Amino acid sequence: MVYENSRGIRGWWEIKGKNFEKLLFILHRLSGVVVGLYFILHIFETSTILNGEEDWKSLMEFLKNPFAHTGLLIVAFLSVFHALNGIRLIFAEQGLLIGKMRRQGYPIVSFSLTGIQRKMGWFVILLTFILALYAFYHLFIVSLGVRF
Amino acid sequence: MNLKFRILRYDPEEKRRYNQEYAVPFRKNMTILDALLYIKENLDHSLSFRYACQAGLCGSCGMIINGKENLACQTKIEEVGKIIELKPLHNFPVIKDLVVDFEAMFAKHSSIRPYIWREQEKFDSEYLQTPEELERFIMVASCINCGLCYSSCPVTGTDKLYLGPHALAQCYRYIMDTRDKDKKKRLDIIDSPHGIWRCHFAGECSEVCPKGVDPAYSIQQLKGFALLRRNELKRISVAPLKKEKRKFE
Repeated sequence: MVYENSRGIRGWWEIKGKNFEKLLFILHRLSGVVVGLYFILHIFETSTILNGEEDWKSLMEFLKNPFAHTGLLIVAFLSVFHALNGIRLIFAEQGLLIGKMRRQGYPIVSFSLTGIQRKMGWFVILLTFILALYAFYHLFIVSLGVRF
Repeated sequence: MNLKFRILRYDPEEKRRYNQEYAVPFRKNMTILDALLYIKENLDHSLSFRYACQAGLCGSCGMIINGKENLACQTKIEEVGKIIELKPLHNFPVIKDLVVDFEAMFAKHSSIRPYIWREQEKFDSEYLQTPEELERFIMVASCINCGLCYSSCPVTGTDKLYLGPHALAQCYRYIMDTRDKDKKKRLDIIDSPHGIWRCHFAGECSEVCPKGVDPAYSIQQLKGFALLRRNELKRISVAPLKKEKRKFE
């Protein structure tokens, strides 16, 4: 009697000791789910305008608080990451920017994990943080008037 | 100095999984396989694991060593520390202790037809190929079928029908081989939701490959062929190198 040793969905979230692309893989899935859920909420949110201007304005006032804006900041961070990493994947999954076939020699290094796509991955993270900082500026300093 | 080995065992008769610990005396340049052989000879004859060449060529001794897929014969104790956790490979049914059943992986490998495929066989002489043509797939041809990529792939764990990095990389190997002729048929096999499109480029397969076969590279190239670069396949199948370079003709 054999034992089925499948990791199942658990394997998607294992990060300890894994490569950088796995981290991006996890973040891409996570950001996709979160942004997808946000879109559903966003439809409900914007549909209040159908009830008239008063309803819309009161909802906007209700949502103008640090908790809601923290949520928006997380959504902004994840959606920017998802979009930029998506561009990296479009190239990588066409077989572009992942190096060129060559004979392996010691020490063995998988060049698809060391090519331009990996640099792009780091650039995606950097750009995401910069744009999230911009979102923070608008959500907290401009909109809520937070002063440090 | 004693090393502490914690091995995840499976007893098929009692259907029981349990951890068992062993203390193994350290020896310089000792590999995980050396330690397992020491346990088998001196501490516990019932421990089961698979091995053959002890030189990283047969691909028999793949296992999870401290959370990462590796070959036991190629992993030195010095690289992993004094406490060593061993588990059987993921995504394979466990037969006993560290021995897993490769049948599903090999069935998927068979499904991509891992052999030179031509309409008319040539029996009077060998198929010729230039060194440059060989370089196009030599990296993937180094595969030793150890199953580490199949175990590490997060997608294989959730989709049993997914062909897996091993079979797809081998498909790429035959597509890039100029002696193999019908590239379109090969692409039709893998151009499916459970084929190349199930791969999401997590790159774990390439990370753990002991031979640098880089399955992630091969699968992304196959996606490129399937989507936008089908014309490239035509050039490969008619041996595109210039005539003057093919000196043997």
